[in-house]
Amino acid sequence: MPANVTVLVSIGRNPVSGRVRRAAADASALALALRIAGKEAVEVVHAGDAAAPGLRDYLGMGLPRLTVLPVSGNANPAPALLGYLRHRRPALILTGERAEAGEASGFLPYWLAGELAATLLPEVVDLRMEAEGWGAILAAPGGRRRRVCVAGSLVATMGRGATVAPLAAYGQARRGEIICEQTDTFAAAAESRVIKPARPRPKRLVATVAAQAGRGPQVGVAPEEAARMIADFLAGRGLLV
Amino acid sequence: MSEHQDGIRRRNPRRERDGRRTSSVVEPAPSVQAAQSEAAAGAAPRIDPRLRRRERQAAEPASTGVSVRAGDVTRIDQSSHYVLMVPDLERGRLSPADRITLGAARMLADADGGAVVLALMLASDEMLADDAGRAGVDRVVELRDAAFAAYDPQARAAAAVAIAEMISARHIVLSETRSQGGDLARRIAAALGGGLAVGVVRMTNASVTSVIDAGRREAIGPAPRVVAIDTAIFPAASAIQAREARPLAPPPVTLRSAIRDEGLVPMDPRTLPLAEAELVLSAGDGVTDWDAFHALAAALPAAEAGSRVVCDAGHLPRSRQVGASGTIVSAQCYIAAGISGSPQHLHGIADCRTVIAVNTDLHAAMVARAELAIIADAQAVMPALTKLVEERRHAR
Ligand SMILES: Cc1cc2nc3c(=O)[nH]c(=O)nc-3n(C[C@H](O)[C@H](O)[C@H](O)COP(=O)(O)OP(=O)(O)OC[C@H]3O[C@@H](n4cnc5c(N)ncnc54)[C@H](O)[C@@H]3O)c2cc1C
Repeated sequence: MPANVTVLVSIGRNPVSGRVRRAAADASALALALRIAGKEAVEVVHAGDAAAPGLRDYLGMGLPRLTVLPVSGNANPAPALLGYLRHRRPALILTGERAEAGEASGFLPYWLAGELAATLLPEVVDLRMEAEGWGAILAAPGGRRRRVCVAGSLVATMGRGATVAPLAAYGQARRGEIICEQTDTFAAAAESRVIKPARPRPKRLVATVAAQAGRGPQVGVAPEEAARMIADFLAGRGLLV
Repeated sequence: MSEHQDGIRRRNPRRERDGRRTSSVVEPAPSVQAAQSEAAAGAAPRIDPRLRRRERQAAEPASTGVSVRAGDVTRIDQSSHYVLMVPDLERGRLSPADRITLGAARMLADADGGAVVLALMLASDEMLADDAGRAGVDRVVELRDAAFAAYDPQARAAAAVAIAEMISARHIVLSETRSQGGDLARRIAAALGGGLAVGVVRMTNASVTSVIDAGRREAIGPAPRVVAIDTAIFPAASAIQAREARPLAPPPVTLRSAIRDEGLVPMDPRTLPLAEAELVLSAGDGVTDWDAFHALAAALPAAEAGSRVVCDAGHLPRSRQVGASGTIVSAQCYIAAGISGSPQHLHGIADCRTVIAVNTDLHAAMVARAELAIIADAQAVMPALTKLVEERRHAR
């Protein structure tokens, strides 16, 4: 049965502890796909190691099976995914906007959209199939929402505005099936860059109030005075309406 | 268009401003120059009628060319290559991020005698209210299309690609901003090929350092075709030399897009995901008066959030947990009431612009992180702030 919605998932990693887990944005993408298409019309694809820990977390979201395209260690998963998707031609590809480990450049969905001549929509929070194509709600700056319509095939990425996906159920995670699909093998491209552990690089603070006022912590202020300081701070940044 | 085609015209912004008053200057394209005094005043409206008038005059054909001395403006006549910079623009002006990114474009150009070209994609009634020359721009390409009035990243990317191809840009440089440059950079890279570096934090001699692996590692290598700058980290240029900002004629483009913008939709701030909230009131184990907490969140209004301890205890739902194993927030202001500031929690607020801490412990990590830290009992400060906010609102 051909699935018409494909979700691309990666292996996530807790940014502080480094613990391997499902990737949060990919899980949101899967939750949305399940909501709009139902589990029988959704195919979930991971290019990488079929035994990777964290992969079964996705099955635990209520999925009967998951497809793995075996790709070795450091190799770029993109060509294998493209080969597979070219074949399948899903009407909709959903994925997280950026991986939680590895190159994590957020380029993969754009590259795939380009190669498949599909339209890419970023920051998708909701999606619906409509008569003329896809109706999507996107997160817009300042906590706003934008409605757009797209005709033709779509690659949609989900980021921070996405719904929090329900936690994986252990039983389903164990029962679900992982199917390996052989694709052409692609050798890892030679790395021409020098890779090093990241150096701590302080972010530029945008003229903070502390710096402006040159004051440290406020000790021994009455609650009313504390309230006034906070209200002035917020008002000075246009945050009190 | 090649360099020698427009090479006979020599521009000096000062002379041109004088010239425009008498309508005697040849302009190959409408000028985007704004008066320096307006740029310095920092309060120029989005569409300044005076600028419009000047633009009309500038576009009038004239029969004589002007050849002028460069003065204090650095001019590149024969550039070996072009570096295209695509700005985000904020209400018609170069944003602080745009200026940092222009500095990066400058470095890529200067590594090898190149010129920085600013790509302006403007709707019919828009214009640049900043002096591009003063921001260090050698050339300006201005493309006008009604499509740019709406949200249409596909059309913008197609336009940027057309400009890049017209000038055979060696590099295309953008700010890696969400919804804007970051999205556009990836679209352009997908269309052009030639590679992409995102999260660029440093640059030396056309070699770039990108942060990869979600911040754990960095990669250093030659600058690829498309470069996206992390403007929160990339060093700002120390001195910017004025450049001529000479207009280049835009390429002919027919913009087609599969995206139809239907506009912004109303949104209830209370249902807004935490990750997008501009103002967050967050509680830690130091909060015991939950009525006061909810009352303050409603009064501000602010999105409610909490530390893991608070969510574990069931005071707030899990979706409201901030931190490494919860939500990453990027608010304009994060008010932390009774939160110690564990590394896991601080990770979740690294992108917040400012932090206010209310804590009884002067030595709490959150106090050190805060721009405004009040050493006091949260149970006393919360109701006082609720009362004050409501009073101020009524007074207006
Ligand atoms: C793998 C892992 C992942 C984790 N992920 C997260 C995460 O995502 N998010 C998260 O938050 N935590 C996370 N934690 C937990 C984290 O380590 C801390 O335990 C937690 O953040 C502490 O929460 P807290 O600041 O509310 O409580 P505490 O550390 O107990 O701090 C309470 C603060 O309140 C102050 N206080 C007390 N009384 C008052 C008062 N009356 N008025 C004002 N201030 C007062 C105290 O001085 C203290 O600073 C994680 C831990 C692990 C091991």
